[in-house]
Amino acid sequence: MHIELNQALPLPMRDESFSPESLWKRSAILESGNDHLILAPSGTGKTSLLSFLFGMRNDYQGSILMDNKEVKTISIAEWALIRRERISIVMQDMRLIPTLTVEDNLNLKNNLKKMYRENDIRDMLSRLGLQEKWKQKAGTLSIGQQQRVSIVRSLLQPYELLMLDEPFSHIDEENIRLASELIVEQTRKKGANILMVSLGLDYNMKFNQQHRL
Amino acid sequence: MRKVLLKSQRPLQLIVAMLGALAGVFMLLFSIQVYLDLSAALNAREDLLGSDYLVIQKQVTTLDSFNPESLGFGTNEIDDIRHMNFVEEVGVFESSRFQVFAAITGLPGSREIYTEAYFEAVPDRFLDVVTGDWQWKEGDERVPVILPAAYLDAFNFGFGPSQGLPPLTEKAFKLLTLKIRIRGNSDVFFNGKIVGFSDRINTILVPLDFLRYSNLNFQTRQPTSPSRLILAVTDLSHPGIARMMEEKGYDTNQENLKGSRVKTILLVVLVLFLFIGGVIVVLSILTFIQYGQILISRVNYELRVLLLMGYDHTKLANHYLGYVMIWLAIIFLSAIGLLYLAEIELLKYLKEYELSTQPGISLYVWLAAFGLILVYTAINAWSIRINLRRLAKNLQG
Repeated sequence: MHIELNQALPLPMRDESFSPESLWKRSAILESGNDHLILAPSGTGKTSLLSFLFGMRNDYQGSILMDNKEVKTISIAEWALIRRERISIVMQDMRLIPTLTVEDNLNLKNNLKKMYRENDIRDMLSRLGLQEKWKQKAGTLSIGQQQRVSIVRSLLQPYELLMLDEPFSHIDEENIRLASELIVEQTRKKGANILMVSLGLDYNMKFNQQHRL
Repeated sequence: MRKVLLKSQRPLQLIVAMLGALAGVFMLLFSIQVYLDLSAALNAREDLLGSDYLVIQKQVTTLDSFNPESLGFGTNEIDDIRHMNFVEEVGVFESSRFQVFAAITGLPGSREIYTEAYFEAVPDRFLDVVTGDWQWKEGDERVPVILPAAYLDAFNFGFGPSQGLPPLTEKAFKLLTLKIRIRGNSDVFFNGKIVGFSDRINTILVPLDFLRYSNLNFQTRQPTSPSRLILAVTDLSHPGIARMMEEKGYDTNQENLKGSRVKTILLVVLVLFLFIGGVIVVLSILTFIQYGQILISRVNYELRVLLLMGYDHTKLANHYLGYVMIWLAIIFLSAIGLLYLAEIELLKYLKEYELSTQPGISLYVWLAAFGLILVYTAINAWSIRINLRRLAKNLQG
């Protein structure tokens, strides 16, 4: 997936000052075939950038092109298709449905493309130490556990780009290692790439390109 | 998916919305059914609630006793009436201009009723008694006669009891012999045959051919202007009729107009019923839309999550529409069921008034039900799609 930013800037941040290296201040190409790490201090708009790239918002100036198409012009039907088949995301606030069990939350995603059998999904959960949580309501899990469930969920679909928004903020070191291994393994299997935004850490994942906001 | 979409369903609200829709749909369909049933029944027996025929004459005043000619309708006057916009056709009553004596024989106990009488005739198309016996040609001794229906009642409940005669059915009456003696230059005899009783025309009717032949051959008086007219009108409740009657000083059988008023009132009540049904239907559609909106807004977060996962907003809308269709099916099947029961009761009621109609739910009611289903579905589909589209466009929340 070829992404191009040209002086793109969230409208609510247009009066703020950024360094000349910031992605908001220059033109940049996030080439496909590379894994990208975007380092950004708090409040510099990293979640906004992922929101623009996932069709959740379009209040920006400048231009953001996805495969040479301005993302503002992508229709809601096209976004649905992109979210099903081309881009997956782990959001900072997880977005699980708290009243549903872990099983239901994961099945809602897997049912879209039916990529994995139940055993495969349970294996992934086990690798992140959540094998006992299959029938537990997502709302009753700790934040760290919810983060891990949302990581597994993001892997249950085909994608070209996996976007990670501070995915390990509430996870212990050992589980970060296990989760990042699982992410990289699944992403390689799919021949896809990763775009992670982080406050400053790369969590020992290898990135070809690094950017700043 | 159901767990997510209907998570915050409030069964009581849904039941109230469905009952409202059921009431509206039932009222609407039932009033159409009643209208069709009554129309069919009334067309079959038009006279019960007032026919589209009206017999008029002039009001009799004291002065008229000295000048009977003033009670007649002149040619110009008839032409004026014919050109009224509610008048379809005018029939002139022709009267006998000779003396008639009639004797009814064959009554129980060999009794005979003997009376001086008169005849009148109107063109056949104005008659409400349809019979193959209604014809006469020169040389026939047998003359068909139609008596007023009121005469049968007068005989059975007035004359009969006072003379110690038993009541007779219409059929038995038709078997009696009516001996007719016409006194012209010499007496001529005919055998009268009662062929029917008229609700519409309150006189002793004979075929026009017979009356014209008799007047030509036996008349003892000169022709006079007709004193009664029979009008075929578009609608007895037409306000022009009452105006004409008042302005021109005409008189009529009031019962007929009363009947027409009953028909009009009935129609007004039905239209009112239809209107109220329509209002309830509109309100119930709004309630459904609102219920759908509330349902969607209560699972706003869940729907956003689904949309972010890649679910298509139209597919989610179709899920909702699927539930709406199930609710609509329950509503319409219940309405049709109720309609069947109501129709059975209605037919029983109509039968009590000797009105009959085709049993079963009318095709038009089915069409109306189908149309209503389409309207409900279309409006709900539109509203659900709009709501989900709005949500898909604003996933940030």
